Amino acid sequence: MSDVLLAVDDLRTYFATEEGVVRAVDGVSFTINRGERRGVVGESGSGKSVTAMSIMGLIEPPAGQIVTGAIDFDGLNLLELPEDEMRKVRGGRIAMIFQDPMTSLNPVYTIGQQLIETIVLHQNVSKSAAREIAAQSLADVQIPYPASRLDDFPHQFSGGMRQRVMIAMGLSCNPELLIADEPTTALDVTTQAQILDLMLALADDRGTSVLLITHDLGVVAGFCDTVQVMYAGGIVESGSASDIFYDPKHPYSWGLLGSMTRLDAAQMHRLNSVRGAPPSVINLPEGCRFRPRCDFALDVCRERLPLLGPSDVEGHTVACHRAAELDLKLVTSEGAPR
Amino acid sequence: MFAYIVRRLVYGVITLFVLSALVFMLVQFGGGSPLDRLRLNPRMVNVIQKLTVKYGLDLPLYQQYFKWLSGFVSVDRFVVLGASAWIGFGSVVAATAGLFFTKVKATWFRPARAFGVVAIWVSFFWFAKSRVDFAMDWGDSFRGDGPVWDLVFGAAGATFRLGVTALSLALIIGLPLGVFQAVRQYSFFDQVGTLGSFIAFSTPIFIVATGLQVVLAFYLERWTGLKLFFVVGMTQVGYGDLGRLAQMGDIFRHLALPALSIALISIAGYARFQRAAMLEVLHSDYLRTAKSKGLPRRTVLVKHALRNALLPIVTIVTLDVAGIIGGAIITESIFGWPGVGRLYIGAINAVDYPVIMAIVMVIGMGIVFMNIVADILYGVLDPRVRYE
Amino acid sequence: MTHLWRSRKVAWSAVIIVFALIAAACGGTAETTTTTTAPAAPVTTTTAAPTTTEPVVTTTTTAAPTGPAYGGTVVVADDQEPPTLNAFVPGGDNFIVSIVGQSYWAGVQEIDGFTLELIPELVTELPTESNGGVVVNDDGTMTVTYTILDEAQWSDGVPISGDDFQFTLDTIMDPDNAISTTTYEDIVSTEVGPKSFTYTLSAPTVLYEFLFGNIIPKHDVEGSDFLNDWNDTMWVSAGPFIFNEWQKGEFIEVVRNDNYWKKAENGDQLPYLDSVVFRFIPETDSIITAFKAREVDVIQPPPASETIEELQKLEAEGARVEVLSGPVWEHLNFQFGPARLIRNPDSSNENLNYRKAVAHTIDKELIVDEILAGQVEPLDSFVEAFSPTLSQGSWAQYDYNPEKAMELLELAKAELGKDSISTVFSTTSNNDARVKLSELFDTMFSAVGIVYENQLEESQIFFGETLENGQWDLGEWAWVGAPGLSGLIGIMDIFDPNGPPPEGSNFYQWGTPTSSVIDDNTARLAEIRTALNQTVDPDKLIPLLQEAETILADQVVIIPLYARLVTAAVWADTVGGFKHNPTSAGHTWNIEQWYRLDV
Repeated sequence: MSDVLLAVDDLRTYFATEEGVVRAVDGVSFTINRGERRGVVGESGSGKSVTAMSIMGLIEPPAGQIVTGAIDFDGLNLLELPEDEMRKVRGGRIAMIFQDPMTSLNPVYTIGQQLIETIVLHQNVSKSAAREIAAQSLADVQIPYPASRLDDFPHQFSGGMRQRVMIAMGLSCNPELLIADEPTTALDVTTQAQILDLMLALADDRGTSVLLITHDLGVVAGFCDTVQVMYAGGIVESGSASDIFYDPKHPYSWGLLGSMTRLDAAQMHRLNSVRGAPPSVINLPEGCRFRPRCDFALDVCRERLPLLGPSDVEGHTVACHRAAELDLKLVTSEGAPR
Repeated sequence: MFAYIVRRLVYGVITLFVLSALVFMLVQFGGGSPLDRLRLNPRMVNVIQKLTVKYGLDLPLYQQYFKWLSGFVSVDRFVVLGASAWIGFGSVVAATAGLFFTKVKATWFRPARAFGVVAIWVSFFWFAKSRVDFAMDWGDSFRGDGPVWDLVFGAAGATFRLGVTALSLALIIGLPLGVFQAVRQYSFFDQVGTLGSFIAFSTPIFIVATGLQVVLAFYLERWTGLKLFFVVGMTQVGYGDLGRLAQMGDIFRHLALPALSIALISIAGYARFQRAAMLEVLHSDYLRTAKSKGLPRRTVLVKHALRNALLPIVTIVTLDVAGIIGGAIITESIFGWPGVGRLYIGAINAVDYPVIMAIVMVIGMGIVFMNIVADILYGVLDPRVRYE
Repeated sequence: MTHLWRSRKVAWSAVIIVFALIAAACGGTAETTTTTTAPAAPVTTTTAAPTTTEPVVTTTTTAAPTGPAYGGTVVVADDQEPPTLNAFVPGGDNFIVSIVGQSYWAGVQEIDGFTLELIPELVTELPTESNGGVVVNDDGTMTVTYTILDEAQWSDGVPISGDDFQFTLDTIMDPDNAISTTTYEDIVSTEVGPKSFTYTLSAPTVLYEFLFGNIIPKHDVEGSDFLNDWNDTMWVSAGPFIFNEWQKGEFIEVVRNDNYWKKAENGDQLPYLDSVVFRFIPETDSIITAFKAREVDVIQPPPASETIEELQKLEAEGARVEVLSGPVWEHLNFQFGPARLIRNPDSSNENLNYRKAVAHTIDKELIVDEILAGQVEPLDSFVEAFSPTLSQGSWAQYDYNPEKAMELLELAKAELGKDSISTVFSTTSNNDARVKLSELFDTMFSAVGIVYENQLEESQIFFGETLENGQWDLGEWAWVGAPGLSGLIGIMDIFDPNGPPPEGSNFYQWGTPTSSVIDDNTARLAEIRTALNQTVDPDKLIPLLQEAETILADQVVIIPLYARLVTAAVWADTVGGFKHNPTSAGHTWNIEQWYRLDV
């Protein structure tokens, strides 16, 4: 079962705006295996969501356009699939859960109507059977009285409950890949873990691969098998969760880790953040895109864009000219070598 | 909900009361008297004296006002011709109750039920019109036109015909136009639509109306020899002798131009508004959800986007219904249309208080009523709205 | 799912009940409609006939070689709609009421559109002293006798009799009716015959000329509620047509009176037309467009020069435009009462030299050129407007002469002991011609050194409080004159020193008790007016009227300016027999003679 489910190759998704072309995703390649939980981390605007939308085929021309690349999903090239074939994949084989459960459900239809609509669309069942399935999926996400709550409108649910509904809707058709775009960001801290636990347990039951987009490294550490770190439209580091957490190879990943509170840290250290602001994706810096904010930049970083390449650890790839020489584990944020 | 409606009705009555006092004062201080037209004729002195007493113009202002008010709220005649009206009324109440006590959660049933109730009552009033002779005591026109009630309701039918046609045209053309513009935002079609809307919106209605007259009723015949539309009137002379089909044709040929000239500005307005509403919905999160579920584009646009984008329009359109009468004032004069607007202008020119007051009050009641209807309708269509 | 189905069933059954009700209601209407439905007949004149290359111009009522054809409909458009059809109730004095009424009313006299003189209608001849119809009795009373035409009858075949005249008089005098009783109230006795009616007035007066202009049928109207029953319908007709239908806000249709008693000069039974439709279109522009599109045949547009020019272009296609000077005369006037000082504390109206100066200041030719596009001559006397043969043109002495005006002003200043003279001009602000006039006056008055100011007012205010209270300094408006001696005598009311408002109509307050001018002239005019109302002999009346005109001109009480134009347009290639009448008779005065050329 460890075969590849999704393979993204050199994906480039650009948006035309009045200020210029936004290269939101600029040469992203990665694969996800069946049953894998992949975390994607990065700041806002790093291209995480656009990558997801590209996979879903929700980039709307003429404003947004996938200029090159290939997305292979279980042998199907999603970018060349006709629209009606793509619709079967979308919502059926790949489901997506969005960030804000308060606004992601249509306010004028009942939960039941919105669930049944999806089920009828992707499964060859009658309306009444679809209702049964819908009730079952509400029960799966631990919503009490699922049968009667089907007739309630979204505004009659709390935020956490609505996200459960979204998860139920996403999983109701037993997708092979679940993309969750910051599913807990808008929620109460106490419910975040519950929802994630629930979502991942349900995904495990169904053997569903998960692509979990988040800016919260803690979430990734707790729930994901593998992690890819994105910066300014590209992947800068990718590897197993433990590798990235305990042995970051890219200064950006290292910076990100430094900005999080870690209960497992041996001693208390000063919280710090990555200095500066993310670059404008319209006018990307020459060479390494992280260079202007990097404490370790050299001249070579100005000249060439580092490519994602293997490191000394197997399965751990990084895009940094100095990856081999720097041992970031030993560096504290207070004294960075120049 | 019931308490809410009652409260709104009470506020409405207070509003109308204040409105009537204000309008009465405005008409009084506007200068002139209904008998001025007689004053310069030296033979009319005794006539003026008699009429002054007859119309109560010699009373102090506040007495004139209360005399008018007490007449306005009292019923002049109420005669039920035969039992059918009562039976009809009973059935209508039963039908309404039946619809209201039906506990169904299917969303589309809610607007359907609201529509059903409105349709039932409108048809009942239509039916009752022939079975019940009812009139309020709104006094007599100062011009010698007879009872104000008869005048206003004699003209209301024509305005209703014009208004409903114009409103339908505005909805049928304006809403789809806005939707298509939003779906194809920034396309050539959208740009042309926007430009057209601005032109239609900023052209005064009398220019539109006389332009339509000259081009479609006059030059069209000149150029093609085909008399398609009429410059003036609601029907042609000898209309009663025409066959059914010819009558319908005649109605259309008279109705088209005035209805279009009223509708044009609303078409532009609705298109702009619908475009904005639709764009907002198209960029909403739940529409992204709908797309991500793999729904066909049509379903996404119609079932998810349009259903939501129509919500704000309902309010606008409902409030517009009363406003259409305002638009009809100029149009009716230009097209010689025998409606309320035309009556209103005539009454103003003659300082005919009872008619002016009655028409203002009818429009006022229409606005108050349609406001309540808009609120109720919004609640029916949008499950998030609740009345307290 | 069962609960869902059941509740829908309830809803549907409710809906079905309602549809059954509607169907029942519709069924009723359908029945009544089908009974009245007839095969579509060719209606009115909406389809334009192919225009001939050579314009057809019909000038008079002269019949076509074969005589006018019978049948057809003529559509007459007007911007006003009658408030009521009954001329004897409030609102019935509206001009449009009598324009429509010309088709079904008849009375003692009417105004000939060719000569503008009074001619008999229902009677054999108009009574005068010379034909014995009018007798001044020894006791100072005056008896008038009408001999009703033998053939005169109502549309239901009942002969028109003296009883109808008596009934008309009784109706007018009924205190419950708000009708002007002027002159009728002086009738002391009557005598009724089957084909004659005689009445005696308490004193001799020529105002009898206009009495009984509209006769009410006793047999049809007696016993009805006169005030309420005849607003929307009309009694039996004495005219060429019968009232048929009134679609409020749209049109009134009158149809042929098969029992009409009048025959044409060539012996044709009148009228020629089957029906006439009066269509009411509030907007003037729409009237003209409708006329151009031949939706209406006869119009009476406002006499604006652009409108006239636009219509005259249609003459090539067969239209005819008649522009006549009417009986409505515009005049400049002075207020003599005390309230003028509210408007202008410095008013000099009481000074004759000032008034003469004003008369020389005004360039009437320029006014007529600017306002009437030079279509008519300015008035030298108000009498010219409605009784041209009786006019002396007494104001011709005041030519346009700024030098003379300035000399007179110097005299006035000396007499008044003032350094400068000022005036405030008021008229209605919602009349384009008058606004234009005020601009012209500004230039003219300033040119001779009068300090001039315009204070225009809405007509409702100007014709209301302002006139009522005499609260203006220099004013301008129009009066309507009527033909005949009685018309001329009637207009003298407005100069009557014994008739200040509100009872009288001497709005100028010239010679009234509170006036700033009370002298021999005002006394003489009061005498003349009293004499006029007691005299019937034209040989005595005419010198009195001429003396009055001379006094008014010499004293510059008013300054007549011009008579308003009265225009009419007709599609003369399809409608024959039309002759415009600028007087109060209206352009429908000979509607019985109209005929269609395309039937």
